[in-house]
Amino acid sequence: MVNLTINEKTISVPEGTTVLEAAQKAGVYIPTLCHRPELTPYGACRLCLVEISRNGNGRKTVTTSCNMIAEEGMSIATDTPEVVSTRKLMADLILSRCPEVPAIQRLAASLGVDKPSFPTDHPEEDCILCGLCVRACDEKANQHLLGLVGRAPDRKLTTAFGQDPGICDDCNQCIEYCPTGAITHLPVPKIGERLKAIATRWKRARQVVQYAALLLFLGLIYSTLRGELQIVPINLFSRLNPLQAVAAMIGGREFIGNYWPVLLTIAVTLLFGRVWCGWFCPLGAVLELFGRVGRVFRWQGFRQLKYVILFTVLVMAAFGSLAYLYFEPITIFVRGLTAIAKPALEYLALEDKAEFALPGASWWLIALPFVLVLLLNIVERRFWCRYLCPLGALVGLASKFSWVKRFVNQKSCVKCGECASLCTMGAISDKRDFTSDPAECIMCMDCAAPCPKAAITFPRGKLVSWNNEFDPTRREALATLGIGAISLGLLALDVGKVKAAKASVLRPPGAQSEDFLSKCIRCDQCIAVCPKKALVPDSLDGGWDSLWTPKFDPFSGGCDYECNRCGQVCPSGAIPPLSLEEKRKAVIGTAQVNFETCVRCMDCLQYCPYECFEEVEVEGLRGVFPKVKPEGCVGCGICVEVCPEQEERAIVVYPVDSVPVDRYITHPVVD
Amino acid sequence: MEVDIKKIDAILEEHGLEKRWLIPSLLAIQNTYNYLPPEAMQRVSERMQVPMIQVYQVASFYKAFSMEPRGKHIVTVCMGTACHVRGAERLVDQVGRVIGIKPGETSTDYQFTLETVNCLGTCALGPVMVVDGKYYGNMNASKVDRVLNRYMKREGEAHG
Amino acid sequence: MAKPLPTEAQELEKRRQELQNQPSRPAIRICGGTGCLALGSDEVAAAFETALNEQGVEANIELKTTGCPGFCEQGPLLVIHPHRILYTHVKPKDAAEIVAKTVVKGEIIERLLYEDPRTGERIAHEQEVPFYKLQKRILLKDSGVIDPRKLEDYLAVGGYRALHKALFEMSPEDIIEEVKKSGLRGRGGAGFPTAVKWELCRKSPGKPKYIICNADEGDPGAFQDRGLIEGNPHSILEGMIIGAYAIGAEEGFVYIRNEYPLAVELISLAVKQAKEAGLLGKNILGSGFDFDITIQLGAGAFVCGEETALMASIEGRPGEPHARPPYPAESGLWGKPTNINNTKTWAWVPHIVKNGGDWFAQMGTEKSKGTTIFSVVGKIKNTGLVEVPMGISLRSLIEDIGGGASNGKKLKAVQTGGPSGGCIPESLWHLPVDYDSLKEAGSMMGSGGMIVMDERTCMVDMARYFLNFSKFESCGKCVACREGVRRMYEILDYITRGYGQEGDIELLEEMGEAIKIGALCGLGQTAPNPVLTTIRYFREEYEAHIREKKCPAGVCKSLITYYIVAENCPGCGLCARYCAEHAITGEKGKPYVIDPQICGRCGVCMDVCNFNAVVVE
Repeated sequence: MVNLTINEKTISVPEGTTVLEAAQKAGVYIPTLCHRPELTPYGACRLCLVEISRNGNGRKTVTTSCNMIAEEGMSIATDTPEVVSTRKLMADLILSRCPEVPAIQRLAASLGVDKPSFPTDHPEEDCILCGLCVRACDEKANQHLLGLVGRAPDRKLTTAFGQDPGICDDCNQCIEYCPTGAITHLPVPKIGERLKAIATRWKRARQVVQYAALLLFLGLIYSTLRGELQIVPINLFSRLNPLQAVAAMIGGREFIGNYWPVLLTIAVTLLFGRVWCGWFCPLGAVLELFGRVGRVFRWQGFRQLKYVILFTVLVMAAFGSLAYLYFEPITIFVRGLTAIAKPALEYLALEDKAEFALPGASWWLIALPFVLVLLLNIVERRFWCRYLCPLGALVGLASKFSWVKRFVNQKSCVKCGECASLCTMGAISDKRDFTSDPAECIMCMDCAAPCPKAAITFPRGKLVSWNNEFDPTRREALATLGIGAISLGLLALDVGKVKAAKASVLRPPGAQSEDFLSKCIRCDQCIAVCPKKALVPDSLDGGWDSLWTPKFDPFSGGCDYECNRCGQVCPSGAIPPLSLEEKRKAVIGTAQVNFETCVRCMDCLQYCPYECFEEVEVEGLRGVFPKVKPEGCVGCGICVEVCPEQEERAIVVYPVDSVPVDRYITHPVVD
Repeated sequence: MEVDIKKIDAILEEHGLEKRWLIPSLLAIQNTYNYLPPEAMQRVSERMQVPMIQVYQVASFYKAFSMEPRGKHIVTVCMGTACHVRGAERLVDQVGRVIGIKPGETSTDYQFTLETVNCLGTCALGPVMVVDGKYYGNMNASKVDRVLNRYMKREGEAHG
Repeated sequence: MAKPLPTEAQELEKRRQELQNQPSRPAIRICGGTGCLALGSDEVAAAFETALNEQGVEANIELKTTGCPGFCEQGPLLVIHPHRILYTHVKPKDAAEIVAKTVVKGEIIERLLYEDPRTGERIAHEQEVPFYKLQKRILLKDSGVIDPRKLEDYLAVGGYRALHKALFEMSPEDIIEEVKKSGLRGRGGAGFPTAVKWELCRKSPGKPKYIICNADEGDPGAFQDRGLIEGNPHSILEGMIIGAYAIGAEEGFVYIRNEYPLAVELISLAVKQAKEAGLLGKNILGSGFDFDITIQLGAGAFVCGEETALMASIEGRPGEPHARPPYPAESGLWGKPTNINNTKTWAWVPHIVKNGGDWFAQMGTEKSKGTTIFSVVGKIKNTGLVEVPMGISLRSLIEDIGGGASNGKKLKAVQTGGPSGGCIPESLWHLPVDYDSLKEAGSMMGSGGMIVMDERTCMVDMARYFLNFSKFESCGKCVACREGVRRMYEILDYITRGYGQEGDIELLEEMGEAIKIGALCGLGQTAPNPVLTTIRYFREEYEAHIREKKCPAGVCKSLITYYIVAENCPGCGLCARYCAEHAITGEKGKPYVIDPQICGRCGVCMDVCNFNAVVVE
């Protein structure tokens, strides 16, 4: 053991200990840059300078502590004015070489240098020639491929002849040791290129999947709008959607087998995290195309809002209302596209463009959420996904348990912030060592390739400590309950109207049951798919709870006798998937002819596929009128569609239980 | 210039294969080829069991080595202090003008390489210029023309 | 000493006796050092050979090509013995005349004699020339007398006598004791006591031990090692062998610059001769002591003068220094105890052993003993190698030996220690030349280069020059030197280009002090010296550059204007022919004019003008 004093503190260390190690043992901080305990000391950065005087020798020398072996009776001072000012100049000189490197900025700032005093001549080269990578290659990897070549003016890190040595085994130790991250973007050795290539390949793969998913989705919407059913179920994205599934099942109090593909989503999420959002979500694919990346918005805490929304959706579902599925991303996208594309397709299909009439305001309203989501995206990329998306919140919560997670090698990370500045989710925080909350990370892997230290990996089964940056707190849970209660209260105020609406609103065939609103997820795919525009989104007329649910409106078109697509497309079973035969028998309502406005054209009688019209003479009126035979009518509305006196409401389809009492006495016409 | 591996091997055998003979061996190769051909350096690395990067480092650290082919005539201008105070900078400018290259460069026809050196130890005669090992002391602009013309003329005659 | 001498040693003594007993003949000694060679001394020597043959006196006259006698300015030099008649600036065509008149008849040819620039008097004999008269030549005594290619010549002047004494009359401890008594300090510049170093290395555990002669004389403006090796290579070998015996080393290295081809050739030859004569190798002179020397070429890196870098270079690595401790004495070459000394230090060893430590200690000052060799160059009349006792004043060295300013200008400073040293102003020339007073003045002995500057030398430019040198010679390992020196250079460069700002001087001072503390090796630690000393002594020149944007010495291109004084210009047009920028126009026979807009300020016009018509301001 040797005894020495460090800043007047006496300490005993084993022989062969360096002064730096001794100081660390004594709890005295000495800054270092080119030193790692496991590598041979190099003494190049000159930051670990200390003042040393030896026993009985008044001579004081300033020297580096990393490679100075402690001797008996040494007296060390780490903070003399000389040492401090020299260190400061060294830090200044290093910073002037690479003023943009955060790790160096922090180190320099800690030594009192806030900005470099000298101009930077090679701003593109952040290499500070500390030799850590060279030593790593020599000592750790035993490869001897890297070297600091040349003398001072043109000294640089390179390989022999600046060529790819070919025999590098990609151990990446050099990258791990680089204190600035310069090593991966130096032009010559091309270190880490293979690593980057792998990361880039994953990124590309993701993009391919993502765009394929978007294309598939658009294709499905297109075929839905065209009314064509295909091999791929056109409601695929709804049926993969766990939020819709859970809400619909809670709301409808029944197991909906149609949602079995959700199991796939859950499995994938538990394996790979929030890949739904990063790889598959078509809305996400669109939102990723523009907007500012990184964290722009100051109040990141609002990310918890999405949990509030999620819980509200679920709480409301538990109370039997799925109204809050307005916030469900797939339905938002479907409605948005439907609103725009359906009139567009119609317009295109028209031969005489003059015949085209723009839909009314209530139609366009269904695209409003979609437009808002796009607008918010300008503020921050994936604003929706970050702060609002309840589906993201749901898969995010599951991602906390996922097998694969984003991992940042802290030993390697130089806190350059490149990943944080690129993250489309703003999921990476400098305050948390550039780790990310698995619930926020969408596994896009965009951050891996640009990381100069190759510190970002997506390891399997690694225990990544939970980063609970935006987990819902108790307060949020309470707030959610509150919102649920208030919402319910609002709905309760509306109860009468809802009932009335229920009575007055015609629903798609087979969807007449009381719990339709508890099962309808408001995706409006039925509206999109309906070839006759017989289904339209309900406006506020039906009350809040009914907003954007499908309403059967025979004035737009009758229910096609040859079509049962609405039932096929409905993912939640709110419209039962009836066969054509069953659908033809499903009662929507009952038609009734208004003899006062009827012009007796008899088109209804002629077109009714159920042949449930009869010709009658009406007492007090002259002539022969058509009359619905109630026992045969399902309320398909074809008669309404063909009636020339729509405006006069010559035929109206009424819900079964609210058919007005016939004031006229009629007599069948006898031939 | 074709690199004869046998020749390289002979040089290496002559000096010895331990690492301490690296610099002398490289100097000998440089004397043979006027520069260090990459193939030769590769061979040195293999035979001496010294990692290639270390051979490369040595070759680029020491000024005596050149990894680029050099001219037939090597013109060295001393930039030592004594020569500096006696106008070595003007001398090197003048030499550069006459042969049309900058220090460290080789003329495109590989006739001349212009190099500077920190001190040739002939300080009393500054500024000093050496052409192909022959020293020329107390140089000035007009002398430069005379001396270099001699080498250029020799060239012309050899070809003419 | 009753022990009988081994036969090998006896034989060498016999050979020496024979050589010394040979009758002395008149001799012509022509300097064959690099300096005189550059001035054509080889051709002169050939002419003499022919002349001797033609006149049929070759048998009676000895013709010798010697090493450097030091008076390089006057080369090619010729000394005719026995009367030591000195002829300067000898041309081949003078050979026949010299042989006919001086050698054969003993007549003196006036026009070839040295003319004292101060008195105009012609001086015939070497020993009377002030340049030599004021020197105390011990190390250099035999340079210029013996033929460095001949071992016999060295033996004849008593060479290897000291080795004999050391091996057979002294123990290693005795030798170290003697060196200690002499007070010899390292001649490499830092002045570490040699005996202490030897003792440390001797006592250090580990085998084998190595010794190194550091002849990597990289300081620009210094060439005493070259002079010594070219003049008397065996004296260095002898010193090394004695040193190795004292230290217990088995192998020695002479690390010598590749840029000194002649010195390399001569020292290699000397090693070969010494081996053949049994002075190197196994069982030296039958004493049972084994020692061998390898010549190792430096490949052009100033930093290799630093001992740890030098050892890295010998080991076959780039010359990057490492931190000390461990010192070479504990862990040097290949981790073994190693002792490194400068060429001149080794050359002193035989003298000290032969004459005793006390003899040496008589010379010089209290703390700096002996003599030292300087290469005095720059803007003085007598440039060359001089050997003077320590403690001589700078003024005496520069003005008496150096002969004062070469062109009538006022001398203003002397730079010692090369890029590691500093500039000492004329006002301090009363200082004695020794390690400590030079250090106190902010400079250092260095290896002994002395560059004299006159009023036409810009001190800012000088500092910039040295920093540029250090910048390119820095190995680049440590931040202080690689980045710091470069930044200081940039600031100086700005100043010389007229972009200097208030505060630059203070910044330079601050940086200089920090780099001195912070750098890893000697090169970096001393690199700021030229700046710090010039600021210290010539602050007003810096201020003129910064505040008035003027270069008082008329050197810094951006701050000066060349023009032609019409009265002096005869209109020869020579300047216009040389002007690369075509800035000079005029008619033959009439005064020419320089267009300052076009002028590139290269100064070539001033160089070529034979009428002093071109001036700079």
